[in-house]
Amino acid sequence: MKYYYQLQYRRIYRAFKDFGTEPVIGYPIIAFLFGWMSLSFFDRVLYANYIYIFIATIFAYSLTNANHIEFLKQHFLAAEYRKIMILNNLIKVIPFALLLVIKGFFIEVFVLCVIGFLISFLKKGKRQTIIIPTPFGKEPTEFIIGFRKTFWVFPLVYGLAGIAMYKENYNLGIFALVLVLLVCSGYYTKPDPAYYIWIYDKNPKEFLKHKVMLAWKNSLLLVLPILIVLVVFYAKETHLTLLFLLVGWLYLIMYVFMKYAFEYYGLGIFQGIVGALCLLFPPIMIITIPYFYKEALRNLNQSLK
Amino acid sequence: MISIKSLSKNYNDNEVLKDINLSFNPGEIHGIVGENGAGKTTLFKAIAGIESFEGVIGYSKGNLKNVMGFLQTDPYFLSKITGKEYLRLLCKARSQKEIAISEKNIFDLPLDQYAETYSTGMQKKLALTGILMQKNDVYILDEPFNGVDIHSNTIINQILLKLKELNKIIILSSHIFSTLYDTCDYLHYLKNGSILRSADKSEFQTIEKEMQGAGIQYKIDKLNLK
Repeated sequence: MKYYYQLQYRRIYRAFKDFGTEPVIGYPIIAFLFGWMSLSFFDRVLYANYIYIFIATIFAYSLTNANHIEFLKQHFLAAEYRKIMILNNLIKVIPFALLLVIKGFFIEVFVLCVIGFLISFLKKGKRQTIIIPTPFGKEPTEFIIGFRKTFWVFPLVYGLAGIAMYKENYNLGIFALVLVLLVCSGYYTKPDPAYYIWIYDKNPKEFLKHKVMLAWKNSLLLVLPILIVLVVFYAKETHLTLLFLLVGWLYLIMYVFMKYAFEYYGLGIFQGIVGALCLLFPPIMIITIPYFYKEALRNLNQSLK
Repeated sequence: MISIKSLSKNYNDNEVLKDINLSFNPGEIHGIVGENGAGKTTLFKAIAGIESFEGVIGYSKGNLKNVMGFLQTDPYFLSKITGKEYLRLLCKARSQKEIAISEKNIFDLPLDQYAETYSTGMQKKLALTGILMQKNDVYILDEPFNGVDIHSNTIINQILLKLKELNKIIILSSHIFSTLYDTCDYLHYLKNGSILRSADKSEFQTIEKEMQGAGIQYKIDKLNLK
């Protein structure tokens, strides 16, 4: 069991190395970002303590890997296996628990630890066999995979747009529109295996153009219901709606370029940081989009000679 | 024709391919044999252009990559993609307009299920169907018979012979020597990154004996089984 945790430590160490960062630099940065984001969350969100427990639970559960569990079950004795499972889940909720301690939510800390303990007994299905239909079948892309993973988001977002219409809250409608484009950008956070780039009979420029056009067409399809609501019910603000749409598309295109600009483990974390900066100050995209485009072309030159 | 001249590949100080010189003509089936780790997959990836290398790979009819179908040992499937969508993706990637997927499903695969949930053999058959649908001129098949049932093995053998008849270039590897006997015109024995011997059909047995004699008994003795 001790060796198992030594190996886990080594895996994290190697993940930082693969990402191109020295772990001594990486650990404080992650800790700082986590602390900063969490504290901002508590400052800005109502009932943050309850929502924070929910986020921690989702985080701990989503990090549970069915294959990893199967491996542990196969090779460790039953008692050891149970100990590892409990410890693993408690480790995952510890950062959240520490923040709750700092904020003085002690009962919530206890609740979170109990949840962490209970999660270790949950069985996670290895393979999903229900086929979720998508409107993107003709051009199989990131949108098919992404939509099947996030399909549940869309009724909620369209619901928000509906509320925006009834409650005459334009900002809520814009929030829904931006949210759809943010979710779509998230579809581009996992690098493609080399084979899935190699199969294309396109040069890097044609390939990127093809990917951008697909991202644009598919995201338009998802954003269209909200766009119609906003244009019909808030006709006077159409110019503003289109501005948000344009910036959102630029953001999405930046993610497409970023996906092919870098190929290493941890791409999602890097994209998250750049994405957060561009959300705070969108004009940065004037620099980031051409830069990532150039890097993507350079990178793709190796696979699409 | 594909010609490989002085191909070498290093991973830092580790030289995995050393001065490979080979040529492959249309209408020929070439088998690459060797132990695990001999460099077969790296050689295939280099020919496909997925791996960088030193040396020259020439193709007489233009861009090799765009007319090549590459069946990998363990084909990787993106999550939440059905068999049908995978085949469509491969065809679209080669700008094919008309895609008749159902009638090309000769292995009777459940194409409406997620490809990642297929068994090893089914995944191999799906990947093979995909590169066949691309209508390539060159086929690189890394262990095409691995994990596939006997009936499908026979079908794959027949497909290889049909491709040969259609004047395609076929390069494959297999651990099952009998499958190579049946299909290949030439065999190349790869050992420690070098081509130790190339042989036509009349010399296949020599290569098999050479491989079997590569210290097998000594290796088993080292296990000290009790």
